[in-house]
Amino acid sequence: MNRSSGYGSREEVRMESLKDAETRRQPVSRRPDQHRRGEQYVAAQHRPASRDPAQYQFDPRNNRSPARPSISRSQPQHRPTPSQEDVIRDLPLQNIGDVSFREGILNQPLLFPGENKRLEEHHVAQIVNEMEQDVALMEDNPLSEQLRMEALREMPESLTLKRTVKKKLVKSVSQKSKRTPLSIWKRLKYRLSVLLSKFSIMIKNLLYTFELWYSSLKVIEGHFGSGVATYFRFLRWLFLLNTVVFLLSFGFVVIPQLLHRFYEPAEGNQNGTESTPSQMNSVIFDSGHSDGFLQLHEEYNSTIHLVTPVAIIDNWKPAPSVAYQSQVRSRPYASNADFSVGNIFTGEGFFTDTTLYYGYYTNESVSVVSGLTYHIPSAYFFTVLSCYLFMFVVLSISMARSYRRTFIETAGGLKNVVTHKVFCGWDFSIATGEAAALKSKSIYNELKELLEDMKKEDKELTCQGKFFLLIVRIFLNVFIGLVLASTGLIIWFLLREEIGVDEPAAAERGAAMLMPLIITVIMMAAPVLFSWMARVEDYASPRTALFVTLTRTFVMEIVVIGVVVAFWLTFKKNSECWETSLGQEIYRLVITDFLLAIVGTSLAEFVRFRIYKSMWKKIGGPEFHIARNTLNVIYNQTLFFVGLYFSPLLSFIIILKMFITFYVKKIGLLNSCQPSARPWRAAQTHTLFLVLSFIATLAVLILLGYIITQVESSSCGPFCAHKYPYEMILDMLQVQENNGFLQFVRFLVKPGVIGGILLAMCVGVYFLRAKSYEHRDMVLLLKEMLVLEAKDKEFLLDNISKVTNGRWDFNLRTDRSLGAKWNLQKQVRKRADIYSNTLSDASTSREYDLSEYERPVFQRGVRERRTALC
Amino acid sequence: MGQGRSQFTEEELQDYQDLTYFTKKEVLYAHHKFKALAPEKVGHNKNAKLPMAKILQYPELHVNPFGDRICHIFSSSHDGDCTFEDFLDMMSVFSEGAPKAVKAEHAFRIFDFDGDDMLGVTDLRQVVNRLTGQQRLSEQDMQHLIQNILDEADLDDDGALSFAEFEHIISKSSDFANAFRIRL
Repeated sequence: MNRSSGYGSREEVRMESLKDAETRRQPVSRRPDQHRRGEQYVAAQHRPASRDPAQYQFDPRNNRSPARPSISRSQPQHRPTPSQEDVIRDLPLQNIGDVSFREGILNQPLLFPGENKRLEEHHVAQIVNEMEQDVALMEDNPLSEQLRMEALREMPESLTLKRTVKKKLVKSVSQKSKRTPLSIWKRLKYRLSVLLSKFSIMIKNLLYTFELWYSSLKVIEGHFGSGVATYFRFLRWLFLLNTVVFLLSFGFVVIPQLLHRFYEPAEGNQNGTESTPSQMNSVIFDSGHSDGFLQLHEEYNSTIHLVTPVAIIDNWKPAPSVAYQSQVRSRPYASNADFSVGNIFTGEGFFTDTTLYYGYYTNESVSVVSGLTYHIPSAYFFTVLSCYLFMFVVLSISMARSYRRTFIETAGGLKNVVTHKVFCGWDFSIATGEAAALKSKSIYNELKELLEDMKKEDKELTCQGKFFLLIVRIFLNVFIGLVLASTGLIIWFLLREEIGVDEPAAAERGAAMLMPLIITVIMMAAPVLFSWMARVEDYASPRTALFVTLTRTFVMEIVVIGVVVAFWLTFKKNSECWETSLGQEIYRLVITDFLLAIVGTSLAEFVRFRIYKSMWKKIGGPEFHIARNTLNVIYNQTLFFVGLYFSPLLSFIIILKMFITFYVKKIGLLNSCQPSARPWRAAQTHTLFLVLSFIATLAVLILLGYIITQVESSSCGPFCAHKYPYEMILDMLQVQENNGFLQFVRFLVKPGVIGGILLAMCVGVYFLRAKSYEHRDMVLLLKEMLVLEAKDKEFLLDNISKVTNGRWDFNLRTDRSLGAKWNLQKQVRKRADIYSNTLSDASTSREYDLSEYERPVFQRGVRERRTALC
Repeated sequence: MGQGRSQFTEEELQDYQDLTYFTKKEVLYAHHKFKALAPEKVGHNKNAKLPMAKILQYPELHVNPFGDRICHIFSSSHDGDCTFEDFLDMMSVFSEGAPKAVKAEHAFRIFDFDGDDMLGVTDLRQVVNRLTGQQRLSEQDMQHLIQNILDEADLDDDGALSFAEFEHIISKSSDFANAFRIRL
C-alpha cells in the first residue's frame, strides 16, 4: 500500500479546503483516491452529531458551549476536518446514523461500567454498520481488505475496539461474498497483491531486525533530544550508502583484480597488441597454482632468471621504461615495498601498488573459468560509473523529498513561529530527567527571547547603523574571499614542495604528511572563524547566520579539494601515475581528518570536560556542535566522491572510518558533552545538508566527466591502452568515429547546446516561481476573506442573540459611526422592521425606536421566525 | 524479544500488525517493554491493565510534561489506566510509521485539556505552563504569547483553535513529525 501518496493527497484536500472556501461545496469524491475512502467513513462515523457542517467554522460559540464538557473523555470522537465534512455532507442521510441517539451518547457525562460496555457495543455496531455501506471496503478481495485495514488503522479508537470491529467486518464480508468464481486474471492480480504486501511486511520485519545502531540512537535521543540524533542518523545514512558502493566496487572490481593478480599469466593478453604466444603461458602455468606463480614471481623480482623458459621471461620482460609505452599491462606486479607503520598514514610505500589505487589495476581480462573472460577496464569503468550514478540518484531523490517536505509542503518555512514553538516545542523522544529539565529551560528561554524580539521589532535600524552593517558585511565577505584564495595558494605551494617540482630532493623529506595536516587544520579552523564572523555581521535570525556559515565552510571545502585535484591535473607529468598519486593524496586527507577532526576533537573535548568537572568551572563543558560535525561528515563524503575513481578501495576505508566515527562520537557525546541549550531546527537544516552533499556530488560528477574525456590517462591503470579513458568504451562498443549516436552525443555536450538547455531551465524556473508567488498572494487574499466572513457571522450572531435576549437597542444615532457594521445592522433592522410591521401595528417602530411595551411582541416575532427557520 | 511469542496467538499478532503501524516483531518488542513495567502482573495476564502511575514509569512518558494527558487519551477506560492494547496503540501513534495527520489528531486531544474540542485560552495557558516546567512566564508575557498564537493560528478569529486550524498549522511545520515521536 502506498501510504505516502494517499497521505499527500489528503494534505492537498485539507490545504485546499482551508484556503478556498468555495471548493468545499464540491464533494471529495472528485478525487479518485481509493485510500481515503475508509477514512472518510471513519470521519462520518465519529463526527459528533451536534455539529452541523455549516456551523462548524462560523459558529464557534456552539462548538465551545459548555453543553458537552465531558464528551471527549466519555466517548472517543473525531473532529471533522473540512475535507471530511464534504463527505459527510454528501453521504446519504441514513449513513450519518441516528442523530438523536448519538446525541444521547455524547451527552452522557457519567457512565456505569455495564452501561459503558453496552454503549461500546453499540459504538462498534455503528462503525461496522457504516463501513458496511461502502462497497469498495466490503469486497472479498485482498485489495479491499487492505483498504479496510488502512481505514481502521487511522481511526482514533482504542485497539480493543478496533479488533472487535475487525472481527465483525470479517464475518460480514465472508457472509456477503457471493462466491462467484474469479477470473484467472483477477486471481492472478490478487495473488500478486497479496504477495507484494507480504513481501513488504517481510522487508519491514527484516529492516527492523537489522536496524543499525538502533539502541545507540535511542540512547542519544533520550539524552540529547532528536537534534543531536540527526547528526548520527545522517552519518548512518551515508554509512549505508557507502556500504552499498563498497560492495559494488569490491565485488566487481577488486575481486576480479585479485583473481587476475593470481591467475594473470594464465590467460594472456586478449586485447594486447604484443604478440606473446598465449599457448606458451598456458604450457607453463597449466596448473595455475598461485603458489607456483608467486614463487616464480618472487624469483623474477630478485632478477634471478633460473631455468624458467624464455617465454615467461619474455612475458615478464618489459623493463619499466619500456612498459610505459607498451600496450599491455604496464608493469609487472612488483613485490610491494616493505611495510612500515608510516605507510598507514601516508598511503605510500607498501600501499602504492595494491588494489587500493587506480594504478594497480590491469587493462586485461581475467578468466578463471576457461572460455569466460572478464574485462577489467570495462568493469572498472562501469562499476565506478554506476557507483557514482547510484549515489547521485539516491542523493537527489532524498534531497528532493526532504526539500518538498520541509519547504514546499510547509509553504516556504516557518511563518507561525510562536505556534510552532509551543506545539512542536517538546521533543517527545527525551527520556532522562536531566534532558527534560534542560528542554523546559530552553523552551522557556526561547519563548522569552521571542517575546522580547517582538517588542523590539518596531525598532528600525538607523541609516547610519545600516550603513555600518553594510560596510562590515562587505569587508568580511572580501576578507573571506581573501582567506579562500590564500588557502588555495598555500595548498598549491605545499603540493609543489611535496612532489618536488622545483627541487626533486625535497620530495624525500617526508613532507607528504605536512600538506594534509595543514588542510585538516584549516578545515577545522574555518567553521570557527566563519561562525565568529557571522556573529559580527549580525544577521536578523540565527538561522540565516547558521546557513551563511555552513555555506561558507562548504565553499572552503570545495576550494581545498578543488585545488588538490587541479594541482594533480596540471602537474601530472611529475608522477609516474598521477591517478595513484591523487588517490594517495585523498587517502592522506581522509586519514588525517580522522585522526585530527574526529579522534583529536573527541579527546580535546574529553580533556576539557575533565578540567571543567574537576577544577575550572569557568571554561564551560563542551557542547556537541551538530552543524560542525555534520559538515565534517559532508567533507569526508566529498573526499570519498573525488577519491573513488582513483582508489576503489577507498570505499572500504571510508565505511571503516564512519563506523569508528560513530562510536567515537557517541562515546564522546555521552561521556563528555552537555546537551546544548540552543534549539536545533532539525528538518530544514537537514535539507540544507542534503543540498550541500548533492552539490558536492554534482561537482564531482562534472569533474569526472572532464577527467574521463579530456585528460590524458597516464601509463598505468586500466585505461593505459587509450589516450582518454572514454575511448575504451568506444573501442569496446566498436563505435566508428562517424557513428550517428556519437555525433549526437558530441553535439549534446557542445557549450552552446548546454547553455541553451540551461537557459530553458532557467526560464522554466522563473515561470514556476512567478506562479508560486501568485499563489501565495491568493492565499493571503483568501485568508483575509475568511477572517472577514467570520467577523460578519460573529457580528450577525451577536445581534441575533441580543435580539433574542431582548437587549436590542434600535437607537440609530448611537452607532452611526461604524460604516460596515452599520450596513449589516441596517439589514437586521430591515427584517426587524418587517416583523414589527406584521406583528404589531406600532407606528413608532418606523423611527427605529421600539418603546418598552413593544419589545415582547417583537421578541415573539423573532422567536417564531427562528423556529420556522429551524 | 523471543520469550513474548508464547503469550500471543498468531491471530492476535496478525490483528495487531494490521491495526497498528508495527510489524509483528515490533509488537512483541512493545510487549517486552510493557512487561518490563510490571513483570509479574503482565506475566499472568498479557493484556493486564496497569494503573497510570505504572505506565508513567516508561522513561519517555515519565519526563514528558504531558505524560498524564497521553495516558488519558489512550486509555480505553478513559481514566489513564492502560492495557497492553492501549499501550501498543500509543506507541503506534508515536512511531515513525504513523502519518502526520494521525499524530496531529492525537496531539490535539492531548493539548485539549478541558475536552471541549477547541484549544481555548485556558488550554494554551496550560500547555505553555507545562512546557516551561519550573520556570513560569510572567502574566503579561503569557498574555502576549497567547495573543500571538491566536494571531497566527486562529484563522476565523474566534479566540480559540479548532482542530482544522490546529492541523493547518501543524501541516506547515516540518519538525512536528520528528518531535512527536517516541522510539519503541
